[in-house]
Order: sequence, then structure tokens, then C-alpha cells
Amino acid sequence: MMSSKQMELSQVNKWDIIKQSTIYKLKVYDHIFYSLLIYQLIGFLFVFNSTGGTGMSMGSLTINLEYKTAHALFYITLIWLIISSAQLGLKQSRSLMSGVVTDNKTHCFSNGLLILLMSVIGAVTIVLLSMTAELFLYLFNTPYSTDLSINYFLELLSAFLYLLLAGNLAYFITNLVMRLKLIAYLFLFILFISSLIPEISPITYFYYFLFKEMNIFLFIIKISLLIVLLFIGSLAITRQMEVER
Amino acid sequence: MSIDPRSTEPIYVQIAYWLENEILKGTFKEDEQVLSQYALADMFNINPATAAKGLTLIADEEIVYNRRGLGKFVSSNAKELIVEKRQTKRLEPLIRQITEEASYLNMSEEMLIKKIKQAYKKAGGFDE
Amino acid sequence: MNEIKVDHVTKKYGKKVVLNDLNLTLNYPSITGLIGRNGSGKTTLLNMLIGYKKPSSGEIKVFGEDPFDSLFVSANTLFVDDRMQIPNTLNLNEILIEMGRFYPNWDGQLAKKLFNYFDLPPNSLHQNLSKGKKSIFNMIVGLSAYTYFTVFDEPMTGMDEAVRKDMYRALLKSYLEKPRIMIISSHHLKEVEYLLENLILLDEGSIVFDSDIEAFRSYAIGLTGKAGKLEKWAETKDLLYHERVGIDDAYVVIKNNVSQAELNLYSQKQSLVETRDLLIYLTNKRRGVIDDVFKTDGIESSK
Repeated sequence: MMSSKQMELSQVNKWDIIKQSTIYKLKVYDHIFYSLLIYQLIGFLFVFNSTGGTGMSMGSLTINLEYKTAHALFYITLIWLIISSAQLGLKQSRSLMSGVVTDNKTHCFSNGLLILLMSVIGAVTIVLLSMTAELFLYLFNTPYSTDLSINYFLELLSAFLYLLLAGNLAYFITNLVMRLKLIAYLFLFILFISSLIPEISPITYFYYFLFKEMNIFLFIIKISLLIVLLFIGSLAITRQMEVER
Repeated sequence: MSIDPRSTEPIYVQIAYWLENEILKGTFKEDEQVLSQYALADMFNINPATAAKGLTLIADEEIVYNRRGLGKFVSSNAKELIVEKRQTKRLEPLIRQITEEASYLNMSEEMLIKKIKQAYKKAGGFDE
Repeated sequence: MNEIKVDHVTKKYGKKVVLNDLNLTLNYPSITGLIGRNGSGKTTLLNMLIGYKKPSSGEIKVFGEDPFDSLFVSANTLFVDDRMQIPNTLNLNEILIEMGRFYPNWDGQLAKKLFNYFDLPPNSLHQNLSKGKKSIFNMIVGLSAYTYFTVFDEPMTGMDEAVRKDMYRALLKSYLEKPRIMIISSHHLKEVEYLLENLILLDEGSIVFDSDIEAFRSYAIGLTGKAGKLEKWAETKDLLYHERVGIDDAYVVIKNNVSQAELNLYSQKQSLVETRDLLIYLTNKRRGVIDDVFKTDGIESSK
């Protein structure tokens, strides 16, 4: 009788908590995906406005049209993803989790998972909407030609990777600014100064390193490496964060 | 059941007092279990550790005995022990107080005894 | 090993020392009251026990671990106060469900029943509730989670007296169901007194009292008697408070470490000291009493 009142401490599995945290954040931050719909709707409309006058020729002109569609949607989605990822890095985001079971590591991992999810959904919606745009063009008798499968797969993959990179970058920088204000401002200041001199600007190097990489496999490796490094950086920064409510 | 917040007596003493009364009344009979600290806590709206202190108090006086894992049980000579203890510790000091107060008021011994008899009638007594 | 230990803990914010070399232990199971004036450091201490903040020096061990950034401690503790992070994009009912997913001992039945008993609107958002109803909701979460260690920091703010009474009763019932480690910081000492096993009094960052509640209740004694005689003698004892009463009587409060005989000699009446008064006497640093503010001297009043 007396011993039945004995309480045991509960053990928890960090992967369970990461999963649980991700689901929880998805429910709490439901505006993230609603806002994506709105962003992309705007982007979609922009696209049609710009494709309005470009007529009926074949060849390179229509291929340009195709890329324009994808680019507009891509940039809008990119903005959405950067803003959303940055929000995850704010102190508010950490304090929200203080109401449930969490620690800095599971919080960071679930954020990483969310950024991954957003990148997947972002990339997929970009490609689907591009396809829809093309469908419309087809229906309105604008002739064009595409090599469907490889194009879309590459588009999907590169959109996904770029989004993932941007998301992790935004998350990392937000973390940096939140936690190590001095270092962050110093870093951004140096970046700004050096970007005025294109020859020595790290941004220029970055551009050549990544965007101009022709080999697809090297590209995938480089960008993946960057993503992982950024994530590890975020993890390191969040480690000793105190909770402010 | 509730404790008296104005009493100068510690709460666990009040619990012990209540348990003794219940034993005297026969609510808890010989070798029967008295209430657990949790039941007492629930009844009196107090912390169970405080209730446990009350149980320990009467256990130390051998009014109840402990059976490991089961709780506190009424001793065979509980009633005698209670009567003896309460007479010396409570009743006699109270009698001293009453007589002291009566003498301040210049009340005669007969008058005091008369009043006590009246009070006895009213209380109905706990004896058979 | 399953207890909470604070070992020589100091907390500074810049030069300001908020907590000064604290040592305490919370055992399983127990309900401890934490009292003290505003600014005494109670909330800072509680924040560190939960692991939200780190000490400047010293060590805190919760179930043998550092509570700061510990998933294990997080899963077995809960902090109930008015800054509890309840999201505003889910309604109350949904929040209860989410809590159930995180806390292993969650009692959904109890949460539901308490919800209905206190008339909370299940489809409302937390931010739209009145202060009292917010506190009620937070308490329901706190009691239904059945975490091994639960901290309550002024959990009854905004509740009216009748609701507070019910809530304290609910707290006791929940504790009797599964005794665990609880610490409650409250200004309503009178209401929460009987629920407590132990009491810690914090004053300006230091622990002034740390023992069982009964020891606190009987810590001091109030004496009334003839002013001159009583006051003179009381000065030689641990005097906590004194004031003039009536024409030439005095009321003093001294530490209760004097024999009954001596008490009878120097005073005419002895009385209990109310716990809330004792708290004031033990923490009063001010010179004089509030009445002094309203005193006028002869020169001023003639104007």
C-alpha cells in the first residue's frame, strides 16, 4: 500500500523528444505554411504578368520564359524560407519550448528538421507551380519544348539544396546575433567592408565556389558540406543558452 | 474534520489528540488499524508528513504499534495508556487552571463543584 | 540521489549579489514553502533549480545532475508561474493534448475533470483568458503532469479566495495521489501553511530559516506585560519586535528559547506569533514603523 505511492523518475529518448518537438513547433507555428501559400500565390501571379507579352516563338526565347517562371517563384520561396528559419533562431523560439520537455540540443535538432522540411516543401512547390505555369502556357497554345524529366529533377534538387543552405545560413546568423552579439556584428561589418572591394570579398569567392560549379556531383558535395558546417555551428552556439521568458 | 488554527498546540499534537479520542470512543478497536498518514492528511487537509508526526507521537507512547508495510495498529492497552497520559498531561493542568480562576473570582468550592456537575450533565459523558 | 541539492550557490548580476552562498536540500517526497519579501531572490533561486539560469558559483544537483540544459531534468520537472510558455496558436484543449505527448506521467483524465470543474472554455486561447483563469489553467497543467519535481512560483495570482481554496485542496489531493518533490513560493503563507512540510525563508539573498513548518510556527513567542520590566528583560534576549500597547504595557516578540518560568516572570500574557507576522519581524530592516512617517513634531503642526 505505502510502496505503491513510490514515484520513479522517467527516462527520455532524445530522438522521441526531437520528433515530438518538431511536431509541436509545426502546430504552434502553423502560420509558416499558410504564409508560404500566400507568398507563392503572389509569386505565381507575378510570373504570369511577366510572361504576358512574350509571344509565340520557339527555341531559346521560350526556354528563357520557363526559367523566368522558376526564378521568380524560387526567390519568393527563398525569402519565405529565410524569414521562417531566422524566426526559429530567435530567443522566443527557445523560450516557447521551455513550457515542454526540451534542451538546447533537441531544440536545435528539431529546428534543423523543420528547415529541412520547409526546404523540401519549398522546392517541391516551386517545381509543381512551374509545371502548372507550363501547363497553362501549353493550354494557351504557346509552343515550347522541354526535356521534362531531367530538367525538373535538377530543378528540384538544386532548389532544395539552395533553400536548405539559405535556411541554415539564416538560422546560423540569427543564432550568432542572439548569442554572440559582438562577434556577429564584427563578422557582418568585416563582410560589408570587404564586399566593397570585389577582388578580396569573401562573397566573390563564395560565388565562384558554389554558383559557378559545373560538375553536378562536386556541387552537391560542396553545398552539403556547407549546410552541415552551418548546422554544426548553430548547434555549438545554442549549447549554453540560458532560457529567457 | 479540521485543525484549530488558533490553538497553540502543534498540528501533529492535535492529530494525536484526535486519534486518542477516537480510540477512546471505540472507533478504532484493539489491533485494528488506525488511519494512514495519507488518510489523515486528506481528512484534515494537512501535509501527510505532519500527520505522520502525529502517528509517530502516539506510537512512541506505545498507544499504537507499527506493522511494517501495513501501518499503525491500536495496542491492546491503548485505552489505559491514553487515560493515564491525558489525566496527568491535560486534565490535571486544566483542573489547576479552573481552580485558580475560580479562586480569583472568589468562587466557593461548592459553587465550583455544582458548576462542574452541570457541565457533566450537558456533555453527556463518554463513559458507558 | 533522487533529491535536489544546492551547494554554496551564489548568483550575481554584474556587481549585484542576488543570492549569497545558499545551501539547501529538498528531499523526496516533500512539500516545501519558499517565502520572503519581494526582491529577496526567490524567483532567481527557483529559476536555477529548474535549470533556466546558471549559478555564478556553486553547484546545483537535481536527481544527481546539473539541471541546466538537461533533457532528463526537463522531462521530470515543471515550473508553474505566470510566465509559463503556453502557445497562443492552439486552444486550451489542444494544449492539454500536447502536454500529454511530452510528459510521461500526464493524467489526461484529471486535467479534463479539473478543466470542467473550474469552468474553463476549451476552445479559447490562453491569451484571451482573464488573469485568474490563466493561473487556473497553468495550475491544472502543473498538477496533471505529475512530474517528480514541480515548482510553483506564486501560482495563485489573480484567483479569488474561493478558487484558491479549491486549488490548494487540489494540490494536496494530487500530492497524496503521488507524493513527489514540490516547492511553492507564495505570499499567502496563511493559506498554504498547513500543506507544507518544510519552510525556507529567504531574505536579501540569504537563507534566514530552513526547517520544518512546526519549527517556524513555534520559533518565536509574543509577550505582553508591563513596559519597563518586559522591555528591559527582552532586550537581553533575541528580540524580534517590540511596541507599546495601551497605557503602559508593551508587546514584544522574542525567540522561543526561554524557559516557561522566565516567561511567567516577566510577562503577563503569552501568545502565538502568526506566521505572516513572524515573516515580517524576521525580515524587517527598516528603522521604526510606518507610523513614524505620519508623526508630526510640534513645530510643523503649528503651521
